[in-house]
This record gives sequence, structure tokens and C-alpha cells, in this order.
Amino acid sequence: MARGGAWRGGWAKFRDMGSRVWKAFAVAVVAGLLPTGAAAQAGALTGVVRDTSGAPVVAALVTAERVAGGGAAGGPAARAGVPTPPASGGGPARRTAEADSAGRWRLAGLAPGEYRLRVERLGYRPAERTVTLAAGGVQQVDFALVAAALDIAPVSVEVARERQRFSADAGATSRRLAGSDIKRVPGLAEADVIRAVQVLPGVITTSDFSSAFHVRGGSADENLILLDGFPVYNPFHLGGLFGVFNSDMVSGAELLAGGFPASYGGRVSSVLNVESDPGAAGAGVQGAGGVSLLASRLALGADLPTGLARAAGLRSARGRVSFRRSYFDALLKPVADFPYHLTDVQGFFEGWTPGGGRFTLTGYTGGDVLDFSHPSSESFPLKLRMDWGNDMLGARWTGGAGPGRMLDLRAGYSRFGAAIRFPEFADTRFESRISQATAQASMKVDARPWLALEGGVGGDRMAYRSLATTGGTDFRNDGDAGWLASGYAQAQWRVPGWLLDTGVRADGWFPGSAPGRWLVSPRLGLKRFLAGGDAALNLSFGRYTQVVQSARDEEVPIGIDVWQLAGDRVPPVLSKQVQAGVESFRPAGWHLALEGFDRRFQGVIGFNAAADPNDARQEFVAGSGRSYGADVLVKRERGSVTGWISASWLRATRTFPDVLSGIDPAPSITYAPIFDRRLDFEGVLRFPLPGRVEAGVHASYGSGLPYTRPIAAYEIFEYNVGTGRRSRPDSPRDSAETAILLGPRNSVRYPAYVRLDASLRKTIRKRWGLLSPYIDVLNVTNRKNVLFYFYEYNRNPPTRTGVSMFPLLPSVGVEATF
Amino acid sequence: MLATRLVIALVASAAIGTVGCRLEEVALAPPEDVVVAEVFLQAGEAQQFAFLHRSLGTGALTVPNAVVELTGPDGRVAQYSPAAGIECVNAGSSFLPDTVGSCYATTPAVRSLVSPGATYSLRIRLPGGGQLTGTTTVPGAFRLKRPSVAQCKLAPGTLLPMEWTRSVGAWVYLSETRLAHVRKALDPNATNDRSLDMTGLSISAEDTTIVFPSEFGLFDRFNDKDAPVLLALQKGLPEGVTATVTVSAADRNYVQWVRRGTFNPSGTVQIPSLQGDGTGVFGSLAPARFDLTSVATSPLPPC
Repeated sequence: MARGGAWRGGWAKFRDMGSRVWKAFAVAVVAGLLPTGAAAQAGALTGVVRDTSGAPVVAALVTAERVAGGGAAGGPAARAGVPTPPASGGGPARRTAEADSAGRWRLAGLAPGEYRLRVERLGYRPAERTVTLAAGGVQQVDFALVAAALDIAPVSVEVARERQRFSADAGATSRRLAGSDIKRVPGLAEADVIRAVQVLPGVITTSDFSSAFHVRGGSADENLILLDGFPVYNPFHLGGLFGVFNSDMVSGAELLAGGFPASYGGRVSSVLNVESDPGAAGAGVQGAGGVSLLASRLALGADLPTGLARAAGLRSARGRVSFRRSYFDALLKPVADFPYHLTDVQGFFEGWTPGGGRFTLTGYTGGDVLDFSHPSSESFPLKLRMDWGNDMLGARWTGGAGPGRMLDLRAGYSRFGAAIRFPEFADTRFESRISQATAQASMKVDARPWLALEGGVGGDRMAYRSLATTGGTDFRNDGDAGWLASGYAQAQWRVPGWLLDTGVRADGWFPGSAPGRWLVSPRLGLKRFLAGGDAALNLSFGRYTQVVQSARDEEVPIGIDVWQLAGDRVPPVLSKQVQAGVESFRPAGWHLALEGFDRRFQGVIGFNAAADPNDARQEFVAGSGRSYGADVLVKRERGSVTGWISASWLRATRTFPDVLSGIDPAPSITYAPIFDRRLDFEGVLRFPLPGRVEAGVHASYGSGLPYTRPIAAYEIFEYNVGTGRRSRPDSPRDSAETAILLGPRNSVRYPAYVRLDASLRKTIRKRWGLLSPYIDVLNVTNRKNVLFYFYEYNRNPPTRTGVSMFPLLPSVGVEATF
Repeated sequence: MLATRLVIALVASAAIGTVGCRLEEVALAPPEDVVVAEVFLQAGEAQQFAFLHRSLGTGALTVPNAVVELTGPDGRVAQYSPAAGIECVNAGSSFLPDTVGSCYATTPAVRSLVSPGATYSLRIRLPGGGQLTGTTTVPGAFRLKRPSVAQCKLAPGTLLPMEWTRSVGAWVYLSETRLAHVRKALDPNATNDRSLDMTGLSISAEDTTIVFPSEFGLFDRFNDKDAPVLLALQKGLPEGVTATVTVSAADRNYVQWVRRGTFNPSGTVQIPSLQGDGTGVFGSLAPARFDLTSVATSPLPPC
């Protein structure tokens, strides 16, 4: 892979910088394993949150607040000379922990003194208790929550969860979206988790027609999208127009935009965790559904009868399942024959063992069908049936494994496949499939009051197959399968005012087509708390790897991923990343964050338009990339007007062999990729209107995306070898087929993207539940954001036309919960 | 990537067609004036041709007074001379071949200038100054194994598995056929009996087979006029159809020019093999031909 001199110099500097970073990292790891005087004095509070039946309460938020005069500054630690901060000083005076899937919580690195503990969870009455923590002590405090009506504003809980992440992670950039947030971002016909993610800072999309998103200069296939911890390869319908997750089944989503810990592997750019909503416990049969212009959906959930649960060896259990189907095919029938439909079935089951362990089962199956194979499809010249979709099933068990130990076991299977079949031409088939079977085990250990350790191992079997055959020749026929062995270890070291996360991940990739190799990924995060723990400075470094890539051409706004495993044709992606920022939670419900980042990528691939068909390894070209920039978030979650404004600045480049030059070997070119949106502003506001109506506004501004401008066009003549002559259509020149000559790659830009969306949602309380009719209007100003320009040099005079993205697009729907 | 493109075409057109809007027209300044040269060497042919034309919207499309020189492996240089446009482009009712470009040809020779496996260089000196240069290596010689004769018969309603020996250096084998009387043979009431041209592909030097005629016509299956004919040919030819079939081993340059490899909404992008003051292709082909008649009984040998 050839690179320019400037790039080599830049990479060398980065490598040197990286070397220094890793040395610092090694020192930090060692330091993290050695107790210091300050750390030895720090204590920890820990415990389990259960409900009155004894079942763990997952995701309960435990807040510990120092009581004034409770021995903070003048306590034993201070007397011992330990720099324990005062309540308003360098260490957090208020700390929050989230109960894990076994209801366990832990707050470490606390200065000795008196703390007021408060536990909150949606659907339960809050509980409080005051405890005194001795120097270096570990105190167990358990809670039993009483179920209550849903009076707690869910958004406040989400704020607390976001804050909990802020307190608990040193390096990760975490942005949470509650289920309610997702439903309030105006969507195309109905709420969409993936579309809602796009309003977060650092996230951009390249067109209205695709939900595929790019995070901080990474490609769309570099985002790890998880449903309850299990990967979903292509979570989109209709080439990216809609996401696959049913919003009624989603309790929230968390985007880790950078700095994610060693426990996450498999992708280099971001992690999107979509969490299933099991529904409220003990509430009988619950349902949610909706009717929109796109589809109808229904989710039903219930507790498993106690006898049945006990027969299954569980203390209690509940489950939820949802169905969705679109009706484009029926709606458009009067005006067009468009035999397309999508279906989704999503299920979630949750059970608790008598020992306090939690067992979950997550399943998803869904797909798209475009069926022109029926005799009635007269308007289409060729009969074909195209279907594509995902299937995923995952089981997970989390529970205690002795004092201070938590074990997490998971096993699952995920696959994505796409196929096109032609009933009349049996020799023609197009298929693309990828599958991943995974088994993982991890353990968290509270080793010391100031030190938490985590480690895990995993094994994955991954396989892909791509086939494109027609007319007796294989345009593509390849596949591979391999084993991915992974292990990680991470340590979190906490002293008052500081949080240090260190970790290392090793992924061994053993494909069938190439020798195996180990990819080592050290991670480091450091956070310095300020303003009594309400603000912090953070810094993180990390190396990230992935062994699967999509060969999809990202310059095409709509497409389906064609997945490819690293092997003899494609290298793994390696990325080194550094980020630093400041974040603050203000008392009035404001959340402010500013973060800068620099990322380098190696091994990214592009389709090789000049590949030699005699050498299958030439089908893709490998390149490198860089991105740097900064994101700002201003968020308000309390008060009558809530929402956020985000601003993102990005510079991204990719360096690849210029295969279109025709020169052999191809020279390298560096260019701005299609997702190099230099400036992106997103604003989401929600506010109440009279009559229990909630209004939502989403404003978006993005600077223009790059494209390659044609500089000339010429006529294409079909050459016939038999006659040695060319032919051209016997028609006017402006309808002749033309070829174009391109200017420098992606050197010009489309106009800025501006869009204003609005929504109105009224909630009507019924005897049986809630009814919420809504109106969404996309692109209220009907601005013609450019999708493509067409340069038509065969016309006289030459003209430029084009196609815009969404016009003003109103939609209505209704949702119900009962 | 054909599958991907097909998916893109279908899904994108459906989605964008549903909600996308056409932007208003903006007049553009005249585009760049670029010379496009298309030179394909054919092994075994007595005469070689070069076709030069210009980018659209810049005035005349012809490129007169160019100097085209072909240098062979022995260093000998052959000059191309101006030739009638009809030598390079088939005439049409709405245009004259001499108006869409300029044709140049080598002097006819008893022994072909172009040999399989040899490397040739091309230099084109343009009338306004500047030049284009390129190199091609002609694919190696090969022969048809089935059919092994120049003229043969094929029983109606049967398929012919064609096979040939490997051509060293070939990127693809391009199979072309022109079927005469096929439309009338399939539908006696058809008013149009024009010949049908079909193309088949065998990708890589090792793929030395194709089934005639079912695996031909790949690029016409979306053509609503020809699709029914292609469907009928999946089981063989009807009685009375005659066909000329050419199998050509094609080099890198030819393939990169014709396969149109990358996406741009404004049109096709071709990968050039001529560098310099313009663009174009300098490709080479090594062809083999036979004629076939679809008849039940005939003195011709079977294919």
C-alpha cells in the first residue's frame, strides 16, 4: 500500500507519540496495581437492589451524597495527610452507580465519612438510607424497592444514568438516548432508533435515504451495533431508509462515540448498544403498538406465571415480543406496482434465578422482500425476487460468583443475508451472507475498595459467502470462515478526584484463507473530577481493531452491506485514537461536553474498479485514513423546554491507490471521503403545548459533502469484435449513452444541508392505557437538499440538474400503550 | 459487485423515486475539450484501426490531422492514415460516421501486424500539440476445442457447450454472436426480424467455457423488448437461425475501458490506458470465430 511522503511523516510522528503513550500506559497499569497511601484510605459502598419479591432490580440508580460535616475534610483521611477533597473540592461529593443485571451496585474510591444513599428506578418508589463509611472500609448496603405507579419522569432517570456513566468511566464518550427520546425525534413515518442516533454529536449521515451513520470520521461499517450485547450486522430496511428495531421494544440506546473500554472489540469507530425493554414487572399483560403510514406494529409482554417460572428453575420471569409489517405494497398499489414489504419480529425474555442471577434471551428476525416474480408484475421487464434481512438469537446469564465477583456469560448467533433470484434465468444468482456465532465469559472483581478488575475471554466463529454468477461465469464467488479468539483485562483505579481505566485486549483472528494473527489493543482512560464531581477533564488513548468490513460503496446513498472477513483479500482494520475533553453536569439540569479527537485508520478497503479478474485478491484495495475534530454538546433535561444542541467539526481524509487513473501501479491519492461533513449542527427541542400536547423540533445544518465533479463527457461507442466497427444509437445526441471524465476526487462540495422537522404528539389517558396520536413533518421548509447533481454535457447548452432528498413530508400515526 | 449494483439500482430508484425531487436546471459553461482515442488491436487482422473523437459540447467531434504510430516488438513502426468514418463506425440514418469522430487505419497487409502474445506501443500526436501514449500486450493465441470447425450445425432446441484452450494474459473472454432470423423463427407474426446481437462473458484466463446460446445476452435481460427472446433462447435456437460467434481473449486495457467500473450519478466512468493530453484506450484482442446453423439435418458437421 503506497502512501505519500507527508503521510509517512505524519504516521511516524503518530507512531512515536503512540510509543510514548504506551509507555505511560504501562506505567499506569503498574501504578494501578500498586496501592498508594491515598488509595489505601479510600473506601467503597456496595450492595444489591432487589424488589419485595427478592428479584434483582436491574439498572436501579444508587446515588451517594456526602453529608455536610460528615467527616469529609476533617475526617481520618485528611488527618492522615491524604488529599481527600472537601465536598466542594476536587473529588466528587455526589456519586452515582447503576445496578447491574443482578441488581448489584458499587461505589468505590470514596473518602471516609457519612453518605446519604438514594435508590431510584422507574416503576419503584425511591428508597433512602444514611451510612457512615470508615477509612479504607467496604460497606454493604442492600435495598428492597417497593413497586409504584409510573410517576417518575423517565427522562430524569436517563439523565441520572448518563451521569452515572460520567462518574464510572474514565475514557468512554457515552451518549444515551432514552426510549422516550427516541420516540420524540421526528422520524420518517415512525420512531426509529437508528435515525435518533444521528442527532447526537459526532454522528453524521450522508443522505436522508440512509440511516447508516458515521461517527467521528469512521466508515459506517466501523460501528458495532448491538442488541442486548449481540451484534446485528445490517440493522436497516430498504437499503437504509429505516432501522430495524421496533421503538416499542427499546428501553434506550447508548452510543459510545469513542474511548470505549477493552471489553468492546470488533469495530473501531463506535459502539451502539440498543437495550430491549422487558416491560414493568408485576403489571400483568402489557402492550404497545402503533399504526403509521409505513407499518403497523404491536408489542405484547407479560409475567410468566409463578408456577411456570419455578418449574423452569426461576424465581420469576417475564417476556415481550413485537411484530411489525409494512404495507407499501398495498398503499402504492393504486398508483404503482411496488411489491415491497418489510417484517420484524423482536422478542426479549428475562428471568431471575433463586440465587439472584439474571437470565435473558433476545431474539430478532426480520427482512425485506422485493418480489417482482409474480405474473402480475407486468410493469417490470425481468422477473426477480430479492430478499435480505437479519436473524439474531442471544442468551445471557449474569450473576454473583462469590463475594465481590460478578460473572457474565453469553452465547449467541447473528446472521445477515441478501439474495436476488431470477425465476426465469436459473443461471443467475446473487447472494451475500455473513454469520457470527459467539460465546463469551467475563468476570468483574472488586479487588480493593479503590480497584476494580475485569477480564473476559471469548470465542467467535465467523463466516461469509459472496456469490454473483450469471451466464455461466462467476463475477464473484468467494467465502471464508475463521475463528476469533479474544481476551481482555481491564483495571479501574479510583482515588478521590481521579479515575484511571487501563486495559488491554487481544484478538486472535484465524481465517481459513490466511495465516492467523493476534491483534493487541491497549486502552487507557484518565479522568480528573472537578467542581465536586460535577465536572471532569478526560483523556483517553486506544488502539482498536476489526476483522470484518463491508465492501459497500459509501458514495452510493442507498445500498446493502456486502460483508467481507479479513483474510487473503482484505486486511483487518487498525485504528489508533486519542481524545480529550471536558464535561460538566450543572445543577439546573444542564449537561455540557466538549471533546476533541484524532483518529488514524489502516486497512480500510475500497472496491477496486481496475481489478485483474485472474487475481481474486485484487478485488479490493486497502487504504488508510485520518480524522480529527471536536464535538460540543449542550443539553438540558429539566424544565419545560428540554433538548440539546450539538455541534461537530470534522476533517476526514482517506488515502487509496487511484485505480481510476489507469496507471499501473496506481499512484496514491488523498481525498475527503463522502462523510467528511466539516460542520454539523443539530438541535432537538421538546416543549409542552396546551391540551397535553408535546411539541418537538429538530433542526439540522450540515456543511456540504464532497463529490467528484465531471469535467467533460464523451459518447460511448459499442465496439463489435466480429465486425471491427463501432455502433451508436441511431438517435439524437442528447439521448446517447455517455461516459464522463472526472475532476479531482471529491474536490467540490454540494450546498449545505439544512432541514427542520417538527412533531406534535398528544397523549390521551384512557381507561385501558394511553393513546398518542402524532403528526411528524419532515423538512418543514421544503428545502431541496441535494442528493446528487447530474452533469449533462450532451445537452446544448450543457446543464446541471439533480435530485433532492426528502421534500416536505408529513406523516401521521397513532401509538397506544396498555 | 454486479449484485450490489443491481440492488442499488432497484432500491435506490424505488426509494428516491418515491420521495426525491428533481432539482431545477442550471446552465453550465462549456466543458473541457478532451480528445478521446479508441484503439483496439486485433490479432490476425490485416488492417488495424484507430478512432479519435472529442468530448461533447465543445464543437466539432472530429480529430483530423493526428499522427498515429504503432510500434511493434521488433521496433518497427506502422503509421495509421486517415480513413473513411464507415471503416470505424457503422452508419446510421441520423448521422454520418465522419461527423462523430475521425477514423485512421494501417495499410492492409498480407500478414497481420499484430501477433498474439506480443507487446505494442502507441503514440498519437494531436493536431494542436500534445500527445497520447500507451502500451498493450496482446493476449496469447488460443483455439476453439468445441466446436473445432469453422462452420457447423446445431440441432434446434439444443445447447452447445463451447470450450477453448487458455489464452495466456487474457483478462476475460468476450463472446459475441449475431443471430439472423431469430425473431421470425420464434414468432412467425413478428414484424421486426432484425438480427439480434448478444454478448457472453467468461471471466479470467482460466474460464474457457460458455454455453451457447443460453449464457449469452447477459446485458440485455433488463431490456423489456429483448427479454422475451432471451428467455426463449434458454433452451436453444429455433430451426433456421444462423449465427456468427466470435470468442475473443481481451487484455487488461480493453477490459478496464469497457467494464465501467465505478459509480457516478452523471454517467459511466471508463478507466483509460492512454496517458497524456487526453484520454482513451489502447487495448488488444485475440479472436476466434465460427459460423453455426440451427438445423436438424444438414451436410455441415455437428458443432
